Amino acid sequence: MVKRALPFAGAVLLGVVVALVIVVPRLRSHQFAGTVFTDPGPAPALQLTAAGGERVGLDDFRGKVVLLYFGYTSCPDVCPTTLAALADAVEQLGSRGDEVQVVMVTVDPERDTPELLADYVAHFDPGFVGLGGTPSEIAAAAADFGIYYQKGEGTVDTGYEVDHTSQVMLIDPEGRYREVLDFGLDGAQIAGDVAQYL
Amino acid sequence: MRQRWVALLVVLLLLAACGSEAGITIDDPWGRTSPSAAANGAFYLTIGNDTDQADVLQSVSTDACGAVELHRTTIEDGVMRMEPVEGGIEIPAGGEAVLEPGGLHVMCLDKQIAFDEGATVELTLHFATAGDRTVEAEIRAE
Repeated sequence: MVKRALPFAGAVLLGVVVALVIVVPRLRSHQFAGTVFTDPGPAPALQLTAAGGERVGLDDFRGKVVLLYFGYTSCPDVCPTTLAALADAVEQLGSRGDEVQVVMVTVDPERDTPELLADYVAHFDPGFVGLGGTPSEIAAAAADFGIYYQKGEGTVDTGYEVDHTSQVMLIDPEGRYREVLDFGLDGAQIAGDVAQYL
Repeated sequence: MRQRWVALLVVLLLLAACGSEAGITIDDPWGRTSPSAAANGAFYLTIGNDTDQADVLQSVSTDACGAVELHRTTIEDGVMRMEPVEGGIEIPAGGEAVLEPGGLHVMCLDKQIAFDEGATVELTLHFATAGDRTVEAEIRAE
């Protein structure tokens, strides 16, 4: 009796150990760093201008996770901090980083030409895309995504700052607008969320 | 003989310790690398104040920028705003002021040099009480 019970108990114990080591960690859900929409809809299309005059829309990045950011190149603090974090996130994803597209749209179309934007974003990661457009195109794109921006006092000659929404929008490979990432998240946190959609 | 050397060493160490702890200290001044396409930049640092009197960082000067301003970034409801800090940045008695991304920073307008990795920028900090302090800010990615 005892001889038969022992292998049985051993098998049960093995089963419990397997469950603890393999199954339980997979059941634990990912803690999202961003604010996730419970009912995600399609992201607005966006049609703007890249360096060289090429028209680019979000449709062009179908199949990739898009991290969309509105900012401007003269922004000294928050924009470079955000782009550095996004570059870090892409790097942390390793080979899967190829399936991520970071897009920065300017909120300062008077100063940021598509060429200047391309130079600027390439500093953080050569794969990043910068998009510009006419002031009315930028206003429409910002409105589509609920982005606020307000030019401060000054002119192109004297310089000025632009207050703007500092969040990053995450669009999944099927083009659905999935979540909003607040300023201050680090590369690991952003990469963790992006990996959920790859 | 040996005891006198030890005593001298102890006195020197005490003096060194006093010297490094008294007054205003500036820790880890740095600026983020940025492309030449970026007109402006920012510097960050931590200022400690071991005295029993508050001091104020009134302004900063450097040849690396066309103009320098002390700014504060605030983020409310996801919207980033920057504004000049009126009257300078106070460093409380026995406390510190932390200038960091997304908060207080030294704004560098009209960059005069490339902010490349490994470059250094000389900053002169003007304090109301402690006077001028010159530090080397390191340019780095993070």
